[in-house]
Amino acid sequence: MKDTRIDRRLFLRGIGGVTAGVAAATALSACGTGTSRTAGGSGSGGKGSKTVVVRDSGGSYGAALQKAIYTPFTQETGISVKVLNLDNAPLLAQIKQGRPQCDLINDAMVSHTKYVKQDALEALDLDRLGSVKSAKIPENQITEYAIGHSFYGQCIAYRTDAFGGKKPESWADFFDAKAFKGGRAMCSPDGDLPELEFALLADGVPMDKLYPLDVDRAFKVLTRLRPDIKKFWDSGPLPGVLLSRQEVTMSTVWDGRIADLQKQGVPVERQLNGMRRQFSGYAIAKGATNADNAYKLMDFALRAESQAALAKAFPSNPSSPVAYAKLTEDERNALAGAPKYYDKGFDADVDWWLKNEAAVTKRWLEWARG
Amino acid sequence: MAALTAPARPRKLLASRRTRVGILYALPVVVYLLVLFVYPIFSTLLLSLKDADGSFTLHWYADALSGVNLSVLFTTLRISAETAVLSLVFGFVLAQAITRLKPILAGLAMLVVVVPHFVSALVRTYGWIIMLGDKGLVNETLTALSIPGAPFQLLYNELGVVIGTTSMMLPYTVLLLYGVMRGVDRRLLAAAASMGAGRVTIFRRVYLPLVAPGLASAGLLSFILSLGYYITPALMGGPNQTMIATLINQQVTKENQWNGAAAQGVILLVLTLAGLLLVKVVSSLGASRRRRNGS
Amino acid sequence: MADFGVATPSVKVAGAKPATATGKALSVVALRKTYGDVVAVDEASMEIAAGEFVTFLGSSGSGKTTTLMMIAGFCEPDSGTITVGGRDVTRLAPQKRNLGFVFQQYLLFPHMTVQENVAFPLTLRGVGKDEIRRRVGETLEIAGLSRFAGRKPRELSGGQQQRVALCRALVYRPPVILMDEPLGALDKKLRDQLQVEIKTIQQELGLTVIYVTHDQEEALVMSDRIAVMRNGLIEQFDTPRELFERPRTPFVADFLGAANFLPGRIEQQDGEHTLVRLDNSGGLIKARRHDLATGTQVKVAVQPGRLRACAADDGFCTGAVETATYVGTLVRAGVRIDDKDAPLLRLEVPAGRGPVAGELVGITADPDDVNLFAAEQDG
Repeated sequence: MKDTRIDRRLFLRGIGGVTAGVAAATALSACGTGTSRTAGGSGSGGKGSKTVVVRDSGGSYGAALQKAIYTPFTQETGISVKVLNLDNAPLLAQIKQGRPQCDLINDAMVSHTKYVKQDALEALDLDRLGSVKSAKIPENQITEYAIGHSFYGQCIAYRTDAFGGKKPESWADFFDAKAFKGGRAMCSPDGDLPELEFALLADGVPMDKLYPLDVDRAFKVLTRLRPDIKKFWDSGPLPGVLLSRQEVTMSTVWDGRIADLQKQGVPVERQLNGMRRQFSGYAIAKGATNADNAYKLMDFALRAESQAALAKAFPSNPSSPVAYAKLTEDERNALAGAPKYYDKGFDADVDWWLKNEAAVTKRWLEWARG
Repeated sequence: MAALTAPARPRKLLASRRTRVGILYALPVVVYLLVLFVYPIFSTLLLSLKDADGSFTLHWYADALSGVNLSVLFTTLRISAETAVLSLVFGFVLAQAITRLKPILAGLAMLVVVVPHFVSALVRTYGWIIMLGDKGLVNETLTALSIPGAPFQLLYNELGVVIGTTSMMLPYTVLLLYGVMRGVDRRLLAAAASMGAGRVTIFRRVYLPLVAPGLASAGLLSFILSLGYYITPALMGGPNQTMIATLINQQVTKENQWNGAAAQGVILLVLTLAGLLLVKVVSSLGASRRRRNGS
Repeated sequence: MADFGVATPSVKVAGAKPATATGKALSVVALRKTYGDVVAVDEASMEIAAGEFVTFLGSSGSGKTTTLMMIAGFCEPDSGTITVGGRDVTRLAPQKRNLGFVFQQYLLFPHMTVQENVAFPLTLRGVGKDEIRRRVGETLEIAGLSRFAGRKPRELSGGQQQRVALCRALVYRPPVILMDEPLGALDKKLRDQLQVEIKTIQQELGLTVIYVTHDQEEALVMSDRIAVMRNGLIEQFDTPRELFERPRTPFVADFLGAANFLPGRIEQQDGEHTLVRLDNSGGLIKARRHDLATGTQVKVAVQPGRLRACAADDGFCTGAVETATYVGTLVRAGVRIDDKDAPLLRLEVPAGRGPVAGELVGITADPDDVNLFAAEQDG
């Protein structure tokens, strides 16, 4: 018994030794890289750290960000970028506990507004973000806590072979299942904000008179189309799948998804009339460990060059008008955000949706379950 | 008295020492369970009973058990039950077939059953659309055979959801039933045959009772797992197939409404426990009935 | 289905007269089974009378179990026929043969009580509820299991389980009951006890039993006739006494009697006896008359128990006792009669008169106990 105990203790000591050794080695190597690189670092928040953690939504968008923004940023500054894909709720919980895992948050402006309400974001110091001016980012995308870097549009996608040469021109056509036959797909609250605006546009409400939304009227119009809506999509690629498999002839879609479909040879086309625009932006988490680096990355990403580079890698629409000038004409016109399309769409009213999203979502579910 | 207690002492000491050592050994597990199991459940429970201003309330439960939430709850139960039944039936047939295959083929068949689990939801959806869509394999075939009524709506309704969830549950039921079936002594079936029992009788009176415990646990497992499912129902169903987990997810990620989500989570947990209890009661009832018949 | 045992009168209880053995219960003609190149059973033929207890005896791989399985229908013969009560069942499924089977591993249904297990074959035959209760009760009574009726098999000992299995196999009175090493999983004492019980029940109820074992003693105790099997062949199918005293092959002599074998040559024959000159010792041994020509090279086979020690030079040979082991009522002795390399001659003599180690003894045997086999006969 005694022997075994000694053995075990020895064994544990051995293990401890190994663990300590590993830890020491790691610490040493960390120190090594730290000292060799802190030369130019100012590092107030991050103890001279040379990393920054950014939250994005991953997928092909994340890959494009890595290529167009993060890698060039690291090359320029020596600051390495770590990526985190996290939902709003856990992110918020982390910030409220004072230990946010990420420094910079790339998210929808709606989400940022929610974060602000929870006091989860740092107020921005615009003096440290020189590129806001140089990129000529529009006033309405500059808020106290977040700055819009791009937007995505929600518009109509349709099969060109479905209507005998006819082209849907408006939401009224989308909602007209007699003239434009075949199934429809629209988004569910799991995918995006309910598409009440489109129903109202179809019913003749002018684009500049949409908000505040007439919810009753919108649902009345939606009810007319309900029997023809085969599927409520909840993720970006689904409308493309449904269109390519001829499950539906027309769907609402995030504009960036259409180019890929066309490349695959699916006979689809977009109709940008009545497009709903929603902006995404950058904000800095309250209590961020590497706030300095977050400012640097944010400034870098907001540059017109960076926005243009991203637009080449991924069909996102830069918020900077300067960025469009840095694209070729073909590249520019492929984007729903090209200046010439600007009047076709409208910006989603973040404030209205913040107030009404929960109620509308609940009502949507009741409506959809019939 | 002293003489009586004296010999008992060392034994008591030994016992208590052994108890202490036992507690020491059990401690990590207890702590683990407390931290990762009991604490979260209790905090969820507390959360579900707290109003926005921190006062006690039951209105999250009232909310969860009324209106559209209640109907979603019933949908969840209905779809879970349908899934449990179907995955049992298909799982039984499949497991039965696999037990008869050669080991290599059995492994291959098992792989085919399990692989969909590792395929991304989108690819899986795409696969199902290719199979079951209006222009899918099944409907094209049926249309080609001029079956009246074709193409049938096999997706975006309850049928679609149950097809999807059943296929997701199959690995569990097949693995579980396969294990139970492998455990059945085939010679018992030979013994029954030697006494004159035909195939149907052997199946009904010997084989089925022997795999019954496996059937019960497989059915319960797929029912309970289905209760918390929402990806497949969302992909393959419509709004009428919304499951309670979808609502919980929506409340947490979209509305940041933890209290209501907690209440629904607690309800889900209670339903799960009720399911377990039900199976326990049914099986013990069955056992006592058999005992009565036996004597 | 018509000739299922339903119509037969109820199980006879202890004290009833044994059923008379009338006619053939089972016959097997030229049964053959091969697995690839291996011949498991080679042209086995036999007839078994009703009420007979027949044992297939052999070591593993001898074909005894394969033969039984073919009779039961669990394995299909390549050729040959099996007839039960005049009905050809060779190609029938097991459940259509109306036989009883007792397995080595009991194979009671674990989810049924003892009562339900024994009732199972009766319910298959559409016997009425009351009748089932009566017959199961009687059968359990015979096996001394009445108080265990409500228990599950796992609550019983191995011996009790095997008794239940026996009840289950005989409750529907099949014309033949097959038993595959039913006592193989039990310890020696229980085995001895159950041997007697099974034999008693078999005799009282007049059951026809085919029994498989590798245990010679068990076969000798229980059987009316034994088929000694080796390499898929039936070496000899005879009563225990015949097998023991008149083995037809050296294998049977060895397997059942553990005989001593001595090489020799037939020197002289008269009307009653044959005289053999032993090769090694040069002694002359008298055997009973065999139909072998004078001058034939033979193997002399005598069982250890049939040899006697006598004064040196009085017997057919003389040797020194090298080992003497006391085993209860007997002394087992090993006598060195030839050169060092040959095996010792084994003797079993009653304790008390036994030789002691180192003693020089003569060996004799009653000519009637001495068997001769032509030297080329294998085994």
